[in-house]
Amino acid sequence: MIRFDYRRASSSDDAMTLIAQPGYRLLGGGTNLVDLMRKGIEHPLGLVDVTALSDTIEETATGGLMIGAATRNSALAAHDLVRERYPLLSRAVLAGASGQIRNMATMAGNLMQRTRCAYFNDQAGSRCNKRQPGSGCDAAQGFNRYNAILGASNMCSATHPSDMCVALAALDARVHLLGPVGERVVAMVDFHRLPGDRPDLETVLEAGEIITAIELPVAPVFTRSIYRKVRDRASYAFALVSVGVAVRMEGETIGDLRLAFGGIAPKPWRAFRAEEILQGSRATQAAIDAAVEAELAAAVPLAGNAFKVELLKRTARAVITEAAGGQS
Amino acid sequence: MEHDGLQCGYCTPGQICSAVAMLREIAAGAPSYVTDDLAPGGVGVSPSEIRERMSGNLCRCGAHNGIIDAILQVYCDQQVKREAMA
Repeated sequence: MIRFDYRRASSSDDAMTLIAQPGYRLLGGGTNLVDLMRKGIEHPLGLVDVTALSDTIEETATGGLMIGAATRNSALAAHDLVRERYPLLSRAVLAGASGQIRNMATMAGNLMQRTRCAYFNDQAGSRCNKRQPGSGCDAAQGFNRYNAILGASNMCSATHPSDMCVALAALDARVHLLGPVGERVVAMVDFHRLPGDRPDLETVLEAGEIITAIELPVAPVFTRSIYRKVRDRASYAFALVSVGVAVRMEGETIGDLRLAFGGIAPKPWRAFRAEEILQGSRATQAAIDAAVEAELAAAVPLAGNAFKVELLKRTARAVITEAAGGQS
Repeated sequence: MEHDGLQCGYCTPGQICSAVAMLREIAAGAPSYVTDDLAPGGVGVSPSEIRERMSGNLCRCGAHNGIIDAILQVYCDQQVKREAMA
């Protein structure tokens, strides 16, 4: 039996006090952390249950949305304002996991979930620099079909598995944090770190800091947004690649474009370079291909996932074309 | 039983709980990955909606098609009863 202390936080300040104890971890829906405890990968001395903290979705003074960190994924996806103003986010959330898991999983927990890299999850038999710094990486020469083609290092090629975070990155979401030195706000695109030589550090969270809310800025007027997830089975599977796009067309020209990829990098991958190339250009196949190829110029495919480069190009081409109003 | 919605029965209690909850979620208007229209009122019962929403419940005997048929029949029977009461 795994022994650990269990506490329920009654407020953000309460959570911060409790989490200051060595070896204590925050518990949201438990859909990832509890699994990892059972597998012997996480060994918290205590869990601080934060599901009683804010789970409200409220309009901000500037016309955006403030989403409490404990909001369940299914509540977010089904919320009227999210469906109406941020359909990309609803679609991305609904593409993830299963109904049961979405009913449990929280906003903050979704951001903080760990990779599903086979070797990170195999405590008994594998080397993993993320799980045990300096031990090596068995994915480099092993089963790396699901691993990253962008943003990885020679220490770690694990992907961030979230669908929701891909949409949040595309929509310029901001993560509200509370820590011993006060509050701060971090852009979603800066919240997760690339592995470099420290794959065990996955986010910019400081010791003792907690996520209190996710903020969406006022929704720009998009003509169309699409989230497409390509996976090994039709439902309840992680992405091989996923593409989130929101487009505002001005006649034949792309007026505004947001593009982010999932399943191919250690963090939700906002395709800034491709966006820059496509902004103000016509949505032709050639322009779209050139933009996606520029984004993928730095791709480092592994033996088992080289197919992702072409798969991502084709998926992005189809999705951007469709969002821009053409036939894909 | 009529639709061979089970073989060994191990997963059946979970399938039934999920089916009841999933139909309630549809009735409450919650969308799924396969819902075409996210607008209110855009969510309905169909075989593809049931397949998507039941995907978290695996049946290792492979009775999924029978399970979908059984859920559809229960749903249709309930609809008929509701209409008769109205």
